[in-house]
Amino acid sequence: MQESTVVAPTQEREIPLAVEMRDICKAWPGVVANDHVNLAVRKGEIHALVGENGAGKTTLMNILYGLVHPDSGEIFINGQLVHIAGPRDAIRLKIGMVHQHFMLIPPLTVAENIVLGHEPGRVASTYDIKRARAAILELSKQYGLPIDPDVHVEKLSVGLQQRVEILKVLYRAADILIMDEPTGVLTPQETFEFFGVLRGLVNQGKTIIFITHKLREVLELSDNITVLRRGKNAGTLVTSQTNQAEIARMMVGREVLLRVNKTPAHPGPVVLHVENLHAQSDRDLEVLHGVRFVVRAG
Amino acid sequence: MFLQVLFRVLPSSDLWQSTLQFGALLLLPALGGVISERSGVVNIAMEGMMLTGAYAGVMTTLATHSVIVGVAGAMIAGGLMALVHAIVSINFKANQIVSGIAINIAALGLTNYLLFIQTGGQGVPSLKDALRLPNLAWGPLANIPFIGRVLFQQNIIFYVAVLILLGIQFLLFRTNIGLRIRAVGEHPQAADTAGVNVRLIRYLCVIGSGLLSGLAGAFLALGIAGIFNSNMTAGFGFIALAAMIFGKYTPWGTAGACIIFGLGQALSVRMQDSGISASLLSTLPYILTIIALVGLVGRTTPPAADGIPYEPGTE
Repeated sequence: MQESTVVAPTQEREIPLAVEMRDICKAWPGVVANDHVNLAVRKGEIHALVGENGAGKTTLMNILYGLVHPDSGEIFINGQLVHIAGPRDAIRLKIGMVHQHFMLIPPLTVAENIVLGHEPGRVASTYDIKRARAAILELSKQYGLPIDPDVHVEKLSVGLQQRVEILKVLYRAADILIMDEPTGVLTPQETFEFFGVLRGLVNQGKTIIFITHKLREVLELSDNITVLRRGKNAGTLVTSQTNQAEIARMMVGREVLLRVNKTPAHPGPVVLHVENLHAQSDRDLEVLHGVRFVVRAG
Repeated sequence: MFLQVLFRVLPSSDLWQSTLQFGALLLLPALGGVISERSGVVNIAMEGMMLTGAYAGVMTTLATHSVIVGVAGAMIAGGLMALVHAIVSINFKANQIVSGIAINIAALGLTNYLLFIQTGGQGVPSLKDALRLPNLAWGPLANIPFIGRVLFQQNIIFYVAVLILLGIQFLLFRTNIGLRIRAVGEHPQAADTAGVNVRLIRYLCVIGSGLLSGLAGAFLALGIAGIFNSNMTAGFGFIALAAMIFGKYTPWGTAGACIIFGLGQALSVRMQDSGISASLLSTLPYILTIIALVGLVGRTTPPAADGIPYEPGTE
């Protein structure tokens, strides 16, 4: 096993680093999540953080956002050493995070979800719904993210819920956006729209770090890639100079078969027969309209 | 015979005055329950907090000869009991129902014990009028037939309760802090990542519920009864809890439920000469509560994170 080091990509080094995490260590009983991990993200770039499940990506980003405290290591934002004790500190440093599992409150409206914690006016005062609505519509226009502020979040599609999460982060004037598996819950169409949104954000000067294990997205979206494996750095790559096979090899530590050769199947007797299946989602929409299928053994 | 007495009693203004009075007595701890549960902490200790408040209210009034200080003492006592519940539920993340039951039992034992040693077994003397919470009469409004007696000749705490009802409705649904309270009760992790101090909000809400239950205790002992007797809250704290659930954890709904249960209590007192045994009549408010909870109401959903201790950090 090679000693893993961070190799600075050979692009211009004059671009300042928006985020630099040095030597981050975090261990829980029985498991080392981050083992002397380094991360360098340039201002204005889209940086992919990849690795298998359990590689330590989410932990590293939770540390950056202040949800988790590292055992040791340093964080520099725009060149300054910082101490991030909680999400409030991260927000003050203009770091925003869109989590893998949305942090939205279903019975509240879009506006209430977005402004929660940073409501217009003082904490003890009345909820200024006009100002909240105006601020959200303004952001909506600026970033091309149309949304109705008065809809209850539980009635929104997943793609729109993610849009609310992004607006939350933008409302707090974040410049550095962390996205944890953003396309995991999106349909292909929503994913396509999401790519457009990300590029738009970067055009407005944002820096984006996104966690994913979808190699195709990494190649299509990112400028640079940091690969983690089992809590350690496995390498960094320049996206334009790499390919899926190389990324996968770094993630796993050995050659990876991206195409699996399958022997022809010999289906046996039927083991499951489903006929006329109807189901409703949590939002009382019918999601299965009389589905039928058959599964055979083997 | 029962129906005859019932129809004679129903139109009497005395009955409805009583109804509103008991309703207000129930409303205070019930509203306390609403804010506590809206922030995500199950609080079934109204009974204990009310009883402790009643005791502290009477003793403080007797000691200081001031009913105002007595009311303050009652609220502080309720607040302290609530603080215990808050520490146990929020810091130690214990089972909140168990904690509530423990406080109820402890309050009964504590007040009985203190009553015995402080009065040498004699019980507390009845409070003089000067040391009781006064009934108000709003001048010309009080002279309106029927309504005058029902609405404008109530104890001062009745009017305080109405103000608190309006205040809590406003607080929960029209202020920023109310938004945070509701967020914390539904999805504390989302609130935390948004920068809300979950722990502080829950503490404030639980202590607030203690202050309100303590005030109810003062109302009962210093306003209505004028004395402290062992276990004088007689399960009213639990009826208040039921009213909160029946009212779907909203202030106005809770107020409506309190009026219904208040009617049950008022009827049980005023139908004594109907030939039905007084003991059986006294079960009326409790039976009404059971019917309401089991039968008439569709499934009520509490706030999503109600009763679940909050563990910050990753999933």
